[in-house]
Order: sequence, then structure tokens, then C-alpha cells
Amino acid sequence: MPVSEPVTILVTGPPLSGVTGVSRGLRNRLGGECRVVERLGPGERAAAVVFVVSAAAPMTDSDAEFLAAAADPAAAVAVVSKIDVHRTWPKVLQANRTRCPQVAWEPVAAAPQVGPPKLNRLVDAVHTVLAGPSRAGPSRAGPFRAGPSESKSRAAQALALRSGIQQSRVRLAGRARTECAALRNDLRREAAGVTRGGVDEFCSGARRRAVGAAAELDATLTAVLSSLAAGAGLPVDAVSAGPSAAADSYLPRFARPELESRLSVLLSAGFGLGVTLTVGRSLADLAPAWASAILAGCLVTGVVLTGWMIRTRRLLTERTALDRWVTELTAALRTAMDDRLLTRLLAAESAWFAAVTAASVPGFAGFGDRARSDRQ
Amino acid sequence: MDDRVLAAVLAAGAAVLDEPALARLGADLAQVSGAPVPVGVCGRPGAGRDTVRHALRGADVVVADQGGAAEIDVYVFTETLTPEDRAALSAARRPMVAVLNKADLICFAGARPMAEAAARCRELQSSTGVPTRPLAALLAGVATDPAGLDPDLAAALRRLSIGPSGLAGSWRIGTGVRRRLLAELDLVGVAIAAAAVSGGAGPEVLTALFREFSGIQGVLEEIGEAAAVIRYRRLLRALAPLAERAVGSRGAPVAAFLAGDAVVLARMAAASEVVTPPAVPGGRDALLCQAIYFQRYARGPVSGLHRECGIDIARGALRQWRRAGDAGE
Repeated sequence: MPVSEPVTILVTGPPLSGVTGVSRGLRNRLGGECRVVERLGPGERAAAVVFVVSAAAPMTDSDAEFLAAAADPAAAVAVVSKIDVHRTWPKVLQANRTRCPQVAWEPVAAAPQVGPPKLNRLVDAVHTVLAGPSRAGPSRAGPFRAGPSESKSRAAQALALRSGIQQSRVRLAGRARTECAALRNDLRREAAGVTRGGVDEFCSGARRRAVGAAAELDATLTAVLSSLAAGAGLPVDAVSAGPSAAADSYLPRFARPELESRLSVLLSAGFGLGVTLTVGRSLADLAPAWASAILAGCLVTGVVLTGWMIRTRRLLTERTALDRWVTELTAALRTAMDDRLLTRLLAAESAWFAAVTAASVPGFAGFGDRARSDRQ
Repeated sequence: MDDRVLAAVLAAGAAVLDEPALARLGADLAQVSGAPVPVGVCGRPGAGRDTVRHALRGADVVVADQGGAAEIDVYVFTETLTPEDRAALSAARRPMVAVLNKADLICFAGARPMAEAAARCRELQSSTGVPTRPLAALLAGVATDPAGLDPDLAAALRRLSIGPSGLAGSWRIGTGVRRRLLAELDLVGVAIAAAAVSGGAGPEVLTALFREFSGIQGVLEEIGEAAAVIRYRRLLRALAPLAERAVGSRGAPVAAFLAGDAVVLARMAAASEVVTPPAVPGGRDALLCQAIYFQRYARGPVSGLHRECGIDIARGALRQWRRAGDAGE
């Protein structure tokens, strides 16, 4: 006889029905020949299923659905547990037998307070199932799917994950918004006091700060996603940051206002000329003897005044342009941050849901759908 | 709720209402505290609905017959909530109290079964939002039965004793009586009763013990809270038709009646049973504190019913505060 690895027996049932007690009892009795488990790993198959319901009350529709979904009747033993406590167990057993006559029903007391466990009939029934003809059948489909409690826990996990992602989205989007607003206020204040020589420096400084804010948000996002992944036991590589877009692709460049500068030169020159002529003429009329000296003095004053006017007006137009540019810059930064946030969260979400679905044994989704349609 | 408060409403109404309206108000107000709030028992088959019904009847709760008109539902389940139970609880149209029956047995292995069952109930309540209490309906039935424990069974209990190795002396009892003991008290009940009787407890002590252990008091409290909501709504319904008459110059006396002290204090009394006021030291300032507390409470994140109750209590407390001030001066 070839040596084969021990067969797996799955013990399952609705919550608090005594699954743990029964599986522990069976493990004590059958530990040598079988592996008794309460959950199947991915791709794992069980040779027999022990379905546990409590003797507290007759089984419900959902229990019957669970039983039908969890096991093929030929390979299943249904068990009414806790018969040591619930005095009315014979009635419950009878009701369950009437309800699901296609499986064998056995009463057990797996972990009684007083006296030894009553598991003999269950052990015999499991042996009968294992020795049964269906065991040798080559085409026997694996009847032993993950039960609804597992699919429910997965659903709960998916729900928790989704809610975690949504909360992070709201939190991080809010943070990006406030950071952009703070940056805009700062830069506008600085732009209002910028000097002529400091415009280039101010521009490069503003761009540096915008890029820094984007990088910081990226780092925060990575940290948040990693903690979410660690909390849900999911792959962390899904959250690795892809290459972020180059800053030049989304941040606008500062363009000096050329036309306004030329116009200000023209207007200032006109102003200077006007001042020279008006003041020169009136003074020359008052003292005709000094006319040439007065004219020369007024000419010098007019040139100086023109130069000052040109510099001041140019600085003011540049400050106005800078103010506009800062607003554009922070708006562009915010759009880029939002894009980055949504793209990365979406990528992580889809990767995680793919991971959650892949971890499940095929077939559980079908059960959920059926249960839902039955309920409707 | 104090009947004098309602009598004051009726007396104040007599001055402003005509004969048929007054008669109708009288009939409606009689419903507020006089008429019982019928309770319907439903739940999972096999979870002990009949036993719960019996226990509640014994505790003077008006239990509606199956299919009868109930205003509060008691939903009986056992062990834990199945998907069917959850669907029924979430589909409830009336105030509902969920009862975890056989609570003495489901946590049998623990040292304090009822405390563990209560913890489980709190957990379930947090997921469903329906008030949930543990109950050992069999013992509650014995405790609330006016006839008390059968003398034969009481005599049998005296023959049992609790030793270090558990229950002993069961051989001294006949099979029939032993079966009846189990059927009427079940394992935990027999153990408790035998321990108490061997300690010299009489029938009254035994009944009190069962009553305390069974958790019936908690269930009755929850039903009482649900009934307070019903009574408050009954009062609002009784006053609603008068609001239609309180319009225009001819309706001015009715409007004054509705805004008068009698009605305001009656609404406050009914609302105070729905929302428990915080304990504050007595005196005139306490009334003001209460009014401030409930005004803030009504603005908080509470349901529509609780908001109305908060407003009613705040208004009533302000009236009382003003009265107390007048009396002081």
C-alpha cells in the first residue's frame, strides 16, 4: 500500500455553533490518520466535511444554505453539538434530519463540563465517509469550499480596507488643499516685497518649495498606504510609488511682462520730458538771464526722474505678474497633487482587491451571490 | 407618568375647549398612561418564544397574541444572531427589544454565565443598534409565576445537595420528579436552587434569586424604555388635533392652552421618561442647568424623537424655573 499524506477533514459551521470544540475533539481522536482543520488553505481539498450546528435551536435557512454550499452530502457528516447542555437536543436533531435528510446527522458533546466527550458516533460516521465509494471516485469534484463565515470575513476585510482607503483619501486631499493654500499665502506675501534683483531667486525658490511639497505628500501617501497594507496583511509592493511627473511638466514658468515694461519706459520718458519742459520754461521766464543754466539743470532732473520712474514702474508690474504667477503655480501644484493622490490610491486599491480575490478559493463568490438572490 | 400631570392638562383644557373636543382629549389622555402597551413576542423558531411569553405575562407585561396588535416587539434568539435574525432586526418597524434566550446555557462553561451572556449582548447590540439583553426565560417564568415553585419540586430540591464534586443525591429523587425538575429549571436552575436550598433558603428567597439571575429585570427595563417612547408619542397624538383649532383669533385660547404650563409640564414629564435627565443637585439653579443641558442636547447629533424630547424638557424646566423664581420673590 503506498504511503500517502494524511487526508484533510474540514470542520465548519455557523459562528458559535461549537466548531472549535468539535474540531479539537476530532483532532484528539483522529490525529494520527487525518488532518483536522477549521479553514482550508487556497487550493486545499478536504476528503470529508463535518458540519456543526448547535443543539440550542433547530437549524435556520441560512445554516441549511451554508451546509448545501459547504459540502457534497455524500462526503459530509452533520453534527448537533452541545447535547450535554441542551436538554431538548433529540427534538432539534429530529428537526434537522427532517430539514436536511440527504446528510447523516450525529449528536455530539465535544467539550462537556461534566463527564467524557461523546464523539464515538461522529468518529464512526467520519470513518464511513472516508471509506465510502465516493472517496475512490476519480471525477469527484472538490465539494469543500470555503464557507460563508470565511467569505464573510473576507467581505469584512474588504470593507475595512475600502473604508481605510476612503478615509485616507479624504484626509490626504484635505491636507494637500491646506498645504497649497498656505504655500500660496506665503509666496504672495513674499512676492509683494520682492526687489528687482530678487525676482529670479524668488521664482526658483517658489518652484523648489512646490516640488518639495509634492514630494512630501508622496512620502506621506506611501506611509499611509504601507500602514493600511500592513494592517490588512496585504502586499506592500502594490503601494510603491511610481515615477512622479517632472515638475516642469505641470508647474508654469514665470514670464517677465515685456510689453508692460516697454509701455512703462515710454510713459516715464514722457513724464520726464513734460516735467523738464514745464519747470524749465516757467523758471526761464522768471529769470531770463539764467535761462541756459536752468535748462541744463532741468534736463538733468528730468533724466534722473525718468530713470527712477522706469525702475519703479517695472518693479511694480513684475510684482503684479509674480502675484498672478504664484496663484497659477499653486493651482497647478494642487491639481498635480490631486492627480497623484487619486492615481496612487486607485492603483493600490485595485492591486489589493485583486490580491484579496486571488487568496480566496474559487467558488465562494458564487455562494455569496446565491445567498443574496435567495434572500431577495 | 404621574396621573396628576394629565389631570392638570384636562382641567386647563376644560376652560377653553368645547364639549366634544374635551371628551376626545380626555379619551386620548386616558390612553397615555392608563392603557397598556401590548408587547409582541417573535423570533427564531426553537429559541423559546413561548417560554419568554410566559415569563413576560408573569411579570405583568401585556403580551399580544400571535398576530395580535403589538406596539413593541420582543425578538427572541439564542446563542448568536443568524443572518435571518439580523434581517428581522433591521427590518423592524416598531420599537424592538432583542432577547438572548437560554443565556444560562450558552455560556455554561464560564464562571458567570449571565455576565458573559450580557457581554455578548452588548457586542451584538453595538452591531445591530437594537437593545439586546440576556434572559433565562425558564427561570424567569418560575420567578414571575404567582404560584411559585411546585411544592413537590421544592421538596425534591431539599434532598439534593451541592458538594465539592458537584450535584449529589439525585438518586434520592424519583425519575418523574427528576425529569420535571430538569424541564422546569434546567441544569443551571437546579444547581442554583439546590445550592440555595441547602443554604437554608425559603421559597421567597428562591424566587428572588431566580428573578435576579434570569435577567428578566433587564428585559423589563428595556421594554419599559420602549414603552416610554410609545407613551410620549401617544401624548403628542392626543395634542395634535388641538393644534388645528389653535389658528386665528378664535383659536387664540386653544393656542394659549397648548403653550400653557399644564401642557408643557405634561410633555416634559412624558419626555423625561424617554430621555433620562442627568443627576444634578436640587434647587432653582438645577432647573436652569437642566434646561441648558437639554437645549444643548437637542441641538446635538440625536434622533428626531430625542431632539423633540430634549426641547420639551428644556421648555418645561424653564417654566418650572420661572415658577420657582416667582414663588421665591
